[in-house]
Amino acid sequence: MTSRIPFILLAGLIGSFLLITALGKEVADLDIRVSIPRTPTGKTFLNFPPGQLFRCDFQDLQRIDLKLIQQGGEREPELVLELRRVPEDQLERFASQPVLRSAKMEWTGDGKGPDWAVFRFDPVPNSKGGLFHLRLLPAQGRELSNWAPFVSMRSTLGTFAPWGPVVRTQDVQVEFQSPFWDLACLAFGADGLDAAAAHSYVDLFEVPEDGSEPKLVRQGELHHQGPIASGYAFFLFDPIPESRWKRYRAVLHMPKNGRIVGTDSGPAYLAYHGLGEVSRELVGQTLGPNLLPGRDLIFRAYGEDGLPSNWALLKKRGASGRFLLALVLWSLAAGLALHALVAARSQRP
Amino acid sequence: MSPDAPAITLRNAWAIAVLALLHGLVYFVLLPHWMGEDEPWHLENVILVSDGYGLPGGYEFKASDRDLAPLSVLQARRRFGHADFETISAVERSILDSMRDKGYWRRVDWLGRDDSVESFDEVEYAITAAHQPPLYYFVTAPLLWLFPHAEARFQLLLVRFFSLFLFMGVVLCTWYAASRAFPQGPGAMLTTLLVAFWPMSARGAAVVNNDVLTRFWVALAFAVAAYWLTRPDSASASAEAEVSNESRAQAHIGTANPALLAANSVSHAEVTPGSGANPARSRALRRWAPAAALVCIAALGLFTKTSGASAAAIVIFAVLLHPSSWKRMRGTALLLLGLGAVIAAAASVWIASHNPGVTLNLKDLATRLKEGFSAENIADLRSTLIGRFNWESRPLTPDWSPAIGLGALILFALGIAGALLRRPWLRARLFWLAFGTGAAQLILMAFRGVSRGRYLMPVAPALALMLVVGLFALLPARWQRPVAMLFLVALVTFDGYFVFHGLGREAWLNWRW
Repeated sequence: MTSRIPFILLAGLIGSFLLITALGKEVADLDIRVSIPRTPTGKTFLNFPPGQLFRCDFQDLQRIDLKLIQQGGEREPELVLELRRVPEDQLERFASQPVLRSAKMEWTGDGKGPDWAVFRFDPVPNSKGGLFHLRLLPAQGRELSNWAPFVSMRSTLGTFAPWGPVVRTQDVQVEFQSPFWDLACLAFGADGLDAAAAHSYVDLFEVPEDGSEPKLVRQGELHHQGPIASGYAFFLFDPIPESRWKRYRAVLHMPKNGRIVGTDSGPAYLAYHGLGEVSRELVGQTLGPNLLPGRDLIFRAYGEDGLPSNWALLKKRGASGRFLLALVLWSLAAGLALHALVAARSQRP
Repeated sequence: MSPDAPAITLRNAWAIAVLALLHGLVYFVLLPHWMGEDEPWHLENVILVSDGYGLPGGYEFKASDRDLAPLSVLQARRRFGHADFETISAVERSILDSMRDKGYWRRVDWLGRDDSVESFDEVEYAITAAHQPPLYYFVTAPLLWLFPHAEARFQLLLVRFFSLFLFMGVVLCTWYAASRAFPQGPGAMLTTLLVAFWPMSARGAAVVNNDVLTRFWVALAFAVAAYWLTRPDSASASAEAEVSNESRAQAHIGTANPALLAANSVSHAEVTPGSGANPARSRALRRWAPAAALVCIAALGLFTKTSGASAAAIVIFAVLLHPSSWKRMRGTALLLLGLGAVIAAAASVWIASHNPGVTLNLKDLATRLKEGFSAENIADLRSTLIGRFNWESRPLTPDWSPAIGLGALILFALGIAGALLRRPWLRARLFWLAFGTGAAQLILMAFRGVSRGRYLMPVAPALALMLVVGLFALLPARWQRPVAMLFLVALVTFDGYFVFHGLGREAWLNWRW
C-alpha cells in the first residue's frame, strides 16, 4: 500500500507555489469595474483632454490603466498620460498644477479594443493620502488621437439601444418605458457633436398611457462641453423620482452638423437611473479644466504590490484564514487524487 | 474487471467521497456570499417555499400592477401566488441587505455603481428564478426549517452545504458509471477525478442553484444506464464481458452507491415473497427495473430544471443501445410511452410557469438555434466552461480557453476512433451512451440560444468519459497509467491555478473601487 503522505506533501508544494505566485501578482488598488464598457467619451482632442481626479490610499502609485477603443482607422498617434498631484485646497485648479509624471501608452489588446492601455511611470513616493489628476493627450503634440477612453456613470443602466452604422443628422427622438425610479440621464451615441460650438439639449416628455398629449417633464443639458467624435453625449437632468414603468419620449435637439448614430430601429442611447455615491477616492471625470462629477473614466491604478502587500490586504478583508484553509484542503484533495491513481496499481496482486 | 481497475467497493466509495468533499470545500471556503450565479433569486424561491408559499396561487399580473411592485416581485408573486407583495419584498430586501453588507456590488462588473438598490430588478433587470420547475426548492426548503429565524446569509450557507453533498453524489455516480465503462486500466479513476477536479464542475459544490440538483439527477441517470447496459443479462455485457469480477461488482452496487439500491433490489425481485411465484414476471421486472428507475430519475431531472432534459436523453439512448429493447418491443414501447408522459407533464409545468427556455414558436426556435451555434455563443460557452468569476463578469487570465477547447475537440474525435476500434479496456456501448448524452445536451442548449458552461455540467460525467477514451485511444495499454498520471498532474495544477490565481484573486483581491 503506497503512503498518502508524499502525495499530499507534493500537492502542498504545488498549492503553496500557486498561492504565493497568485499573491505576488499585481493587484489594482483602485478599479472602476464595468463589464461591457459601452460608453466611450470619443476621440481625444488636444484642446479638450479627458482626465480623472482621484485620491490614493496606497503607496508608490506607479501604473495607471485606461480602457480604450480605437475610433477610426489610424492607430497613430497614441496617447500620453500626464499625472499631477493636486493639493486638496486647490481642487478646482487641478489643471494648473505641475506635471509630476508622464507616461507612454502600452496597448495590451490585439485589436482596436476595447481593452486596457497601460501607462507605467516611476513610483510616486508618499502617494498615500494624495489627490491626483490624470490627463490623456495625443502623443507628438498632435491635435487629435483616434483613441477614446470610456466613461462610467455612477448610476444604474436602464433601457438602451445599440450603436450602429446609421447616421442621423436631424433632431432625433426615442421612446422607452423606464424600468426604474429616478430617471436621471440620457446618453446618445454621436459620430460628431460639437457641444463647444452650439447648444444641444434633450426635451423629455412623459407619454400618458391613455393616449393624451405628452407632457414635457425635463430638459437635459449636455454634460460634456467639448467636441464629441465617435463617443456618447450625456444629457443630465434632475432625477424623476416616480419614473418606474412610465413611458417617456426624448427629443434630442441637435446643433448644426450634429451626427447621431444608431441602427435602422433608432438612435443609440442609454438611460440611467439615480446618481449614486461612490468611494471618496473617486472625485470625478474632467474635460479640459472642467470637473464632470457623477461620472468617472474607466481606469485602474496600481501602487506598491507583491506578496506582503497583498497578504496584508487579505488580512484587512478578513480573508487570510480562508486562503490558508483553502490551501490545506486543496493540498489534501489533490494529494489524495494523485494517490488514488497510483494506489489502484499498487493493489495489483 | 481486471485487478488494476479499482473495484466498486464501499471502501473505494468512501475514499472518493472524502476526496470530493475536500475539494468541494475549497470552493465552499473561497466563494464569497452571493457570488454563485443567480443565487439571490434561487434563495428567494427557497425561502418562500420554506415559508409555506410553495403552491401556485393563480395570480397573473396586469399592466396596472406594475405601479404596485417591481418586476422581480411581480414575477415571484405570479409563481408564489399566496405570498403578498410585502412578503416577497421583505424577502428580497433581506437578501439585498446581506449583499450590500458583503460588498457584492463591488465584485460584479456589470452592476450599477449605485448600491442603494431596493429590488432584484436593480441587480439584473428582468431576470427571475420564479419560472423554474419546483423540485429543487421543495427539496432544499426543509433545510431552512432547522433555523427558522436565521438571516439570509446563513440561509445561503445552509443551502450551499446541500450543494456540497450533491457534488459528492455526482462524483460517486461518475465513478460508478466509469467503472462500468472501463473494465481495465486507470480510465475509471481518471474520469472520476476529471469530474471532481474540473474547476467549473467543482465550483458547483458551493453554489445555491437548481443546476446542482440537475447535475445530480443526470449523473445518477448516467450511472443507472451504465449499470443497465453492462449487467450480465445484457447482450452487450455478455459480448464484451471478459470480466472476472463482474459478479463481485454487482454485489457491491447497492453499498457503493445507495442511490442505485432501489434499482438493484428490484432487480433481485425473485427473492421477495409473491413475485417469486411467477418467474416470467420476476424476470421481466428484473429486466426492466433499471429502465423504469431511469424514467423516474428523468422525471426528477425534468422537474428540477429544463437542462435536466439530458436525463431523458439518457433514457432514450440507453433504450436504443440496449439489445433487449429491440427484442422486446412491447416493454420498450411501454417505457417510451412512460417517458413521453413524463416529458409532457414536465413541459406543461414549464410552459405554465412561463419558462423562457421553452418556446413553441418555430421561427423563434430557428432564431435560437442560429444564435446557439453562433461563434459568439460558442466562445461564451468555452470561456464559461474553462473559468469565469464574479457572476461570469471576469475571465480567467491568461485566456487558455481556445487551447483547451481545441484539445478537448481533438480528444473527443480520438474518443470516437477509440470506440470504433473496439478497445478491450472500453465498453464501447457506454462510450456511445456518453456521446449521445453530450450531443443531446449541446443541442438542447442551442435551443435555448444561450450557452453557458454550467448548462453543460449535468453531462460532465459523459464528457469526462469521452475525453479519457480519447486520451487512451491510440496508446498501448502499458502507456495508459503514465499518461493518466501526467494528465492528472496537469488537471490538478490547472485546478490550483483556477483556485488561487482566478477565484481567490477575483473574489478577494480584485474587487475594490
